[in-house]
Amino acid sequence: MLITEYWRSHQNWSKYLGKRGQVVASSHMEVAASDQVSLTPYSYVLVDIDGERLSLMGGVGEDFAIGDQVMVVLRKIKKEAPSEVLTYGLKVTKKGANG
Amino acid sequence: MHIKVAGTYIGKFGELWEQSLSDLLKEGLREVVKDAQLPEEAIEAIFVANKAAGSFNEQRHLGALASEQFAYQPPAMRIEGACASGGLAVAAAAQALMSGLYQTVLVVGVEKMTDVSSAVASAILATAASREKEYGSTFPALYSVLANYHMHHFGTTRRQLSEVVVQNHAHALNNPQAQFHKALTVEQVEASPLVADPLRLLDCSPISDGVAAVILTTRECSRQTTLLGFGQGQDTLALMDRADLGSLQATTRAAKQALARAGVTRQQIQAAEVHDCFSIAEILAAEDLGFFAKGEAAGNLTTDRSPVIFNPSGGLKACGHPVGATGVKQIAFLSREIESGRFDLALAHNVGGSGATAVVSILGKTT
Repeated sequence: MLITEYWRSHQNWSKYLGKRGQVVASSHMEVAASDQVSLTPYSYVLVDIDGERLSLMGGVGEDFAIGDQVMVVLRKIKKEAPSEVLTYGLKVTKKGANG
Repeated sequence: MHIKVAGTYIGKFGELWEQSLSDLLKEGLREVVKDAQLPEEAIEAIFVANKAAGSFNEQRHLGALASEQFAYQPPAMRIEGACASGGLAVAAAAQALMSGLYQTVLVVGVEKMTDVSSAVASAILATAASREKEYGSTFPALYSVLANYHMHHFGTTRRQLSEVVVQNHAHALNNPQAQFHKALTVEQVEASPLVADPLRLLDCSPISDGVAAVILTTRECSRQTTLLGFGQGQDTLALMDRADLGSLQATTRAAKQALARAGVTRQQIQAAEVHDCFSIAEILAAEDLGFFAKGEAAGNLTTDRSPVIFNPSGGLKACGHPVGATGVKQIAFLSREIESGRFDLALAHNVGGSGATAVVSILGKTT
């Protein structure tokens, strides 16, 4: 991810953070692209949040099935690089989604 | 449409360590002209299909690289539509011929993918997904989302995915240019490492190097294969923006146009080279092209109940998938099959990304 793309993505965080939704489709990835190799395995999930669809990575160690209730949280989304700040972004988790 | 396929060339697909991108491009240009038995000067323009040489090989401006192989330097341009680059280049060439601007053109598809690590290749390939909306995904992940959705809603099984792979590897045994000449069993597919559940390593088309080329002409020609029609469909770049994850609408739209332009029905089609970048993609294609009702392809397309032979070349899965070359290879392969008399009418289906672009071409025998 280009650093400029990363900073632009911040603009959407407040819109989705803490929102709850439902899994529409999911994948559990054992192999990832170079930015995420150190994070595997992880899930990649399509979620419906108040009628809007989002595609997000899943929380560490979590598996997702169609229909699961999830919540949008802020978590690390790529490996750390010496030249960058820690890269956080939106993910979904089932933890607390039903609370 | 009166566009004849005057020449074809398919190089060996695989990990071609000895050949560079430009070596492959030169091979394709040289050999297709030789096959057509035309003087070089007959080629009025060149369309180069390539997805990502700028990233894989740090080489852009492939039109110029192709043109300089001819002493008279004909006009040349690169066409990019992710994995549908080859099909799009053939469509662009056909449009140029139909406009009357040219009478004979050359289409070459090329990709050199194995000079980078698989993680870097995955990252390069993932640039065909939405950068803003699909961060963290890979193409196996996106197609596994489609696979899980299909399994959940239509009852498609893990074994049915494996049977697609087994059939394509069996077909590739008869294709000398295929990357893999290895028969597989369902058990071997299901024992291969998991990539993105439910897709395993042997569900995925390989990372390949390769070149394929065709010469298209509106002039008199001794070859019998004609490009009867083509169609191009589009959909949203990101999966999340689609209303239905059970089908690829771009395929349906492209097929409808292609069949109408060709003036044939799908019941007349005998063979189809479809875009099986992953096993689930062939099942989706068989349904979205209209050969099966939704949910019916998985249990039937590898049986004698199938109305067409799918992927007689071995498909992307077993023949290989040098991305820019794939769509051109489909046209070249089917043209050769038609010239040999094996088929009279065939369909090629080439998809870009997770279905944002699809090109369908219909080829038939005319005298």
